[in-house]
Amino acid sequence: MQISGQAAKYWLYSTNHKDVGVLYTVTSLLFFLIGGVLALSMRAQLANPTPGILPTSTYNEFVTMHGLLMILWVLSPLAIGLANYFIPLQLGARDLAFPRLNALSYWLYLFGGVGMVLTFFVGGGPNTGWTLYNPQTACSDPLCAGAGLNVATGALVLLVASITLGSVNFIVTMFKMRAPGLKFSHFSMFPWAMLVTVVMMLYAFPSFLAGLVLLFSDRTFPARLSYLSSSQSGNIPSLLWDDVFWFFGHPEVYIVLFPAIGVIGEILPTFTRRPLYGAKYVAWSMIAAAVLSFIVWGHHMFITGVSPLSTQLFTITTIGVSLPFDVITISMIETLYKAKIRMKAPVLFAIGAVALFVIGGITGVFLASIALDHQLRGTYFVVAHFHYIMVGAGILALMGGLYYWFPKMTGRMYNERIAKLHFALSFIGFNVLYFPMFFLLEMPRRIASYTINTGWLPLNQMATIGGFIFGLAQLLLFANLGRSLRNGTPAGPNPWEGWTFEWSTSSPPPPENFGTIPQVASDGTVDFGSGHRGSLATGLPNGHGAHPSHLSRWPIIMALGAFLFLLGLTVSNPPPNYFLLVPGVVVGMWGLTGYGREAFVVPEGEKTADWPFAGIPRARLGVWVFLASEIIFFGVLLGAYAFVRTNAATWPAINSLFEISHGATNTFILLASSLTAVLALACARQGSKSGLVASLVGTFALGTLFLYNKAMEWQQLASAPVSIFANFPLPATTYYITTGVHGVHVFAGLLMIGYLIPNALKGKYFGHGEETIHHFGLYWHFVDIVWIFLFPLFYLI
Amino acid sequence: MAYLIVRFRGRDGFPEPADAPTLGHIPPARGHLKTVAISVTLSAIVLGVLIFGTLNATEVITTVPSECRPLQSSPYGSAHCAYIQVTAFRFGWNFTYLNTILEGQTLTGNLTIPFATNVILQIRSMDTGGRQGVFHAFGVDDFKIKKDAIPGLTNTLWFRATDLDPHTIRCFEFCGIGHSGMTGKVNVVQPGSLGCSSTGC
Repeated sequence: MQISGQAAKYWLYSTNHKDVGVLYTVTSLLFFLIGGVLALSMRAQLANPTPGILPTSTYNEFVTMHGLLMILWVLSPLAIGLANYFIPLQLGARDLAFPRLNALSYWLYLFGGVGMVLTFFVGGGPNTGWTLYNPQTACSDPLCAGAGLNVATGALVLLVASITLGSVNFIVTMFKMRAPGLKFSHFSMFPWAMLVTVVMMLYAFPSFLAGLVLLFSDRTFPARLSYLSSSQSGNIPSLLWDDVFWFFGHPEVYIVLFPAIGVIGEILPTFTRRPLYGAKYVAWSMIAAAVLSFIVWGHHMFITGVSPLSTQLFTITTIGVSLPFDVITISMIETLYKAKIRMKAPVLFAIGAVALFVIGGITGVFLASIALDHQLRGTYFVVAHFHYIMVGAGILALMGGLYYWFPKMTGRMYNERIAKLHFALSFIGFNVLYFPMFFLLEMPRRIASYTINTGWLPLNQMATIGGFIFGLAQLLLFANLGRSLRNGTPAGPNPWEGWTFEWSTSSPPPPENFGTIPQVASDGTVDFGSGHRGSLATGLPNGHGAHPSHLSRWPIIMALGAFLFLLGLTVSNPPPNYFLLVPGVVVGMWGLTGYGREAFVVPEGEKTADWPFAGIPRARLGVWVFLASEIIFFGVLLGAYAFVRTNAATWPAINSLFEISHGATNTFILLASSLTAVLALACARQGSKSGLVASLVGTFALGTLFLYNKAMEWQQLASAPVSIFANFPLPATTYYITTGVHGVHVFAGLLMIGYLIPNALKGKYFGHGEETIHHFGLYWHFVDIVWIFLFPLFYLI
Repeated sequence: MAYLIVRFRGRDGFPEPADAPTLGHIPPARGHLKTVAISVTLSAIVLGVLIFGTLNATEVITTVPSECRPLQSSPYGSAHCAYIQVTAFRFGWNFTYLNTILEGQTLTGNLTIPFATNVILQIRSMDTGGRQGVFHAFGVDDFKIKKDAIPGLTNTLWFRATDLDPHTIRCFEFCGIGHSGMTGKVNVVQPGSLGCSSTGC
């Protein structure tokens, strides 16, 4: 297929949610291929372990990369791709709330993935297991993780940024952009599942980000700022990373699972011709499971030596979290009762996923028991269990979703017979692959070789055969969808007779999705308007040509800048690499400025439902949601400080190391700057240009003074007769990292003011423009509030 | 589930369910709180039993037998219990005998223990040559025991050999390039050998 320059430019610049959805979906499938090849290489190795085809070092890189790619770059993004395409359609919206931010999320995700794969070529892929356990990842001797892990850290930061922005976008969209009359109780299961998923993402990923910050500083400044490997200096248990990681890691399991449940909840009603049984309770169950998922992380640490009391509590919460899933599965099975099941490929995948989920779920309850965990932990039983969840339920259901929505996305039907063959081979291959692993109770995970007298060979060989059946079956998916893109029979708007809104418009939908926005009456009838079934659509991408407002070049430029910056920060040893860092800053700032200055028209649509945030503008809600994730980020950093502080044998007395006067001065300065920020907003509201500029300049000056004072204090502590790093390594680490991260936030605020002042001089921020000052104010106050916590924690107690 | 799929597979001439979802209408709610409540209650009872059982079993697995608990007069308990310090390193195990057989000695690789005696392992992680230790997990499947070796912590594990067969030690936490080969043997010996008398060590 020849791609013309114009089409390439279109795909690089498009911000339309459907285009971004296609990009996400296709990219995640490509990463799926990479992750799959890694998996098959490992299976080939384990079927013939001595001597095998992979050196152990390569195997270790593959096992790590396979996990990271499949979980973070395949499962979630595939779901996000479908959500990008269908959430606005299902809500009756014309696009997501922030289309350019959405494109930015995609490009950050893509560049993150590129960086991740790049690690193979710059210092070796991460070789520590996807959990990146410290001290393995933080220590610096040759047996520990290689230099590639630094780049991987940068790539993961890009991914976290992508996910956080995406979550903000989806949350605001779901709360503010529903079709008139559409209530949450009207939602089908996919929007429900995605709503719960993105809220979990918003709260889970900042913990990971905080962990990555600690990891990066450990690896970059091992002698000075070593948080995670601090056991060397202070005899502190190396469990900080475990806590931080699994606080993110367990919700992450549900983050990849819930979209699959949502997809099953779409497919079942359509193909069984009955509404989902107990849909309301399924939604409530997901919410309950999401809440519980944040208090079960300790079950990943049952045998690490944490206190018996905490293992008991985590056992109870973990077993308890299976209750909501019980409701979900029973509802799904009960939906089949008195149904008329149309045996098409999507429903086969959906039912198959439910069956495998039951197996995966029950074996999960086994693992929740500490007693059984003592035997099963770290064995192939665990590998089998989570692959039943992640591949069996997750991937199979999402593939069902791909088939289900393929006609809508392309306007053409896939080949049903090949799709069914794909299902049959996948299902059989899957079980031949993973079921034997339940019986490899003694085989440790992540070993590259074993001796024949262990007796593990036959089961491993069986699994390998299953692996290749499963792997090769996926080629059918690519072949089927690829061919049908051109040769499939035209699908028409509603080939499956579904009830959700996406089926009311043409296939593929026009750029604005609907001729007129659907209206939901109180009795549940939906008015799609008349005669406007998206006659605008003339196929991709030409159909969009008439809508230049969908195109923006700044998202990809910003993402590229961030990528180069982080690569520059991580690729060289010792860092940084200025040949990448400087262009990264330049490109990033260029993108940021262009993004800010671009007059981008967001499709507003008609009046939409926005309970419970009526009256709050969309962008302000976005800022609020973003700050909610920042709370977790700083919360985890402070938690890390508390962990070190409570485990440390000694700590310098109050006012001996960190002088109260220093901290108090800075507290006053920052509080004063909050006052000037309030003044700025008041002046903007009253239309006083000079007042606005003066308040902004005042805020800027106070912020700068704060940073100057901070820098003085850093300097003084580091260069005192006896450096803090030599005498008080743990206080030094916690203090420099926490206040450093806060300082970066202050600096970012100063950059914002630097952007606001020239525009204020031009008189931009009056009338509607005052919202921008409001957003800045929210951010600035938040940063000040963080300091209100830091001051007593470091200086007064 | 299989029954439902076969029973309600779509057949020609079989009528559509009355509440089949249609475009243009939000489907009515289906399902009863009662059904959900019953299923949750039943599951909760099963899971409650499981929680109770696992907490009790955990108590037995993790608590050192009373006769071996440290006393003021003797740090290794009143009875003949073998206290052995296990130090995991990349990539192997050091076994330091704190009392009884081989007292004061350190073996590398394989663990020798007396038959039918309570063995208390104190597991740590520390690398040789001043390098930092990493995570390992000491596990012997035949005894159904497993515990992590974490730098900065000492974790306790106890077991008792009831036969004289050799058993395999494996590392169950990924620890780097030598993880696959980090295995060893537990050799069970009669208390009479290795300087122990037939009544104890």
